[in-house]
Amino acid sequence: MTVSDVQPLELLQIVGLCFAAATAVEVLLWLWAFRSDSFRSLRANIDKQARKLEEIRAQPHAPGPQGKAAKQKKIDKLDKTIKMQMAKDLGGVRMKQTFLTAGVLLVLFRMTGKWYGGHVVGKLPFEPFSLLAKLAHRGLESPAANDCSVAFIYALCQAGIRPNVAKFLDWGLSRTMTEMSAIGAQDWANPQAAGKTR
Amino acid sequence: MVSPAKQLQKSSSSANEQAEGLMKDHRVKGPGPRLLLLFRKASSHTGAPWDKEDLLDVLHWMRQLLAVVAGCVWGVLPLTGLYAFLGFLALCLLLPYLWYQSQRIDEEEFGGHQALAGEGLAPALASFVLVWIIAYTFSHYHQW
Repeated sequence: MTVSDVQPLELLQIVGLCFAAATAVEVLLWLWAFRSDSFRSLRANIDKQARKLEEIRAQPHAPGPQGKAAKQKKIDKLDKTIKMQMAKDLGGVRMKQTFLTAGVLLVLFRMTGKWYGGHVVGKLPFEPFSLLAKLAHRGLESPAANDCSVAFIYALCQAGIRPNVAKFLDWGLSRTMTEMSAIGAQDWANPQAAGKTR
Repeated sequence: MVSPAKQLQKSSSSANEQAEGLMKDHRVKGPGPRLLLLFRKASSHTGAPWDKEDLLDVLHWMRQLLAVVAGCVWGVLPLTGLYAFLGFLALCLLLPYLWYQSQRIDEEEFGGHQALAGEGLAPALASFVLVWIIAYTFSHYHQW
């Protein structure tokens, strides 16, 4: 493999495309869901309620087992209120998010595969093994150990750039909402166990 | 028709009233972008208490910044192979740890070391490998 066979400029093009696509997804989602008053007030409210929940958790309870039980009851009540609210009102937003993200990522994957497929777009500073090697050498004819294909760069962009773009713009689901819905999902699946532990 | 937000407010108003008096807001405030304010607070040693959201955000962006800088350095030098990657992983866990120790932050308040160590780690690792590959390719396989 000679130096001229590697096409580093394409590497930057792919990263640029992935960055643009990640931004586009966020902008489209903002237009479609995040800018609505109902979503924004829901987000502000959930964050506020979750903050209060944390505050109550941090407070010491009134003396005696009764005080402890009262505190626990208060926590459970507020927690349940927030989760029910989220389960009810976030479904539509989540569906739009999944739908749009999957669509754009699929189109982008097809396009980059078509334009840069079979090209050695970069050189890896390490030798990939097993599964990683399959991804890094995807579509390359007789690849050297440290050749890098478009698929590998695409995967890295999705894992590294997209969450950062979403977090930087911070229009969508806040951290609290993501956390609460993750815990909420477990609770709904197993309400008895959830009731005992919390 | 009552909006969902109002319903939520109504149903939890009793809890709100009781919690209101104890709310302590440590979030960064002031003019300018929030990220800048966060980093300004992070670099000062006033020992001011941290809000959970702010602290997690600082740790996230600290790791991303570290990933980009380390990726460039590793790629240009070059440091290669699995040990170079593990070296970055160690750095990515150690530096934020040293920072929040120096800020005298009680990790138990924020969910323990594990929660703080995990914040922003996955995107940072991916960004690091990406920047590492770009820097390595351009500095060793590109004729300017």
